[in-house]
Amino acid sequence: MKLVMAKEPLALEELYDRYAKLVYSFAMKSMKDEQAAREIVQLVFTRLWTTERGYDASKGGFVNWIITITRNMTIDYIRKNRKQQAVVRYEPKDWEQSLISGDEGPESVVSRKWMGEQIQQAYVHLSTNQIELIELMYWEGYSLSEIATQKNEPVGTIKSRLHQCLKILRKHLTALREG
Amino acid sequence: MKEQEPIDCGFIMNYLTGESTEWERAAFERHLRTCAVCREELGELQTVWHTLPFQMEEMEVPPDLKEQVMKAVTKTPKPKRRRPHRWMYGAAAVIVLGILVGAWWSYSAAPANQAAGQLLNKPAQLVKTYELKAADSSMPQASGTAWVVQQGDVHNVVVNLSGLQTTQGDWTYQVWLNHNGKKYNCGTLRVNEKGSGVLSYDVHVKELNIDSIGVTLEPDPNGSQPRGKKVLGST
Repeated sequence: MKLVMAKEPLALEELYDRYAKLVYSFAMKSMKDEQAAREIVQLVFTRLWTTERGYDASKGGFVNWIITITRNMTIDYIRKNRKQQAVVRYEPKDWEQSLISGDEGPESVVSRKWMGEQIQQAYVHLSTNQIELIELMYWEGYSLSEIATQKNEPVGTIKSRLHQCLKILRKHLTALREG
Repeated sequence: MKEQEPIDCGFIMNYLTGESTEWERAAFERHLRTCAVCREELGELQTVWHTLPFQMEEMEVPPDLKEQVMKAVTKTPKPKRRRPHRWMYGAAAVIVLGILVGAWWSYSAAPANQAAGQLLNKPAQLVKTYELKAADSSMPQASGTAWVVQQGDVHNVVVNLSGLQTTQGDWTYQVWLNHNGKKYNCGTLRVNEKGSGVLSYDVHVKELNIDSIGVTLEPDPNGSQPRGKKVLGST
């Protein structure tokens, strides 16, 4: 990553080779549109290119960081299309600081696939409503208060529902707990 | 900085989902230091949060995309670093003054406070400079400069204004930090008979994002949102 900071096209290319698939797949899952996903990939890598603060792809947490950036950019993109106001969303510039949990994040395709299977199995324990809530919030970029308005419920209720969903998932991500 | 609701355990979902301003984040991080329940819960929730994206199916990237992205990206210039100018010496003097005032303030507000001691051995680093230009026809001579200085976990905003009219009664000038369409109170000041004034304001966050800085003329120093007219702005 130091090379990317020094504006070295080769290093950027390396990053692209390693992470483009992740960024593209995320954007496709969210947007379900190839053209939009392509634009998001470009936005994310431009962001990596122009970032003022350094980060190091070899350190743990980089995957989580790039996903956070991708999610923020995807959501901004969706919201612009929906002509919704941008949500104030924290951009973790100082990526090491932003990772309190100390999760390493899955670097390899194999470990990502394994994590995918884990989460898929945990999803079985969620109700349709709970899955819908995560879809709206995580993938479609609606804010907590927008979901509250949609569902005609107080924000606090939505927050505790989401909290509940994540707790159920956590409970069933047993392999992650042990690992 | 005015906060709409108290930042406590109830803020954990906003923090997790990133739906928060930097001020709210900083406040919640302060809360985390003293709340073991939230610390543990947040760790658990983050584990799940970081797993959610892998529910996606990994897809092959269109082969032509790489060239398109590489071309577009490398054409984008990196943000330039500012070079020091002569006025920076003046700026440095104002900043030193600001830091001394800040240090004195935190020292006298909390004697034997560790934070004050820690601040003194952290070098101040100039992060950004904003040129403020007149924004109202009644004070065309108004001008100013604002500096954002980082010192450890604290950002210090130092504002130096001139060419402003002297205020009467409760009337005062107020500085605002604008970010993502929101305005954050950065303190109030009055100018001397020559129309000059200086303000130093500490923001206790590690990261401070500012889109622009504005100065308004307010009927009193108690507002949390601008009511009066804008007299200076950085954009």
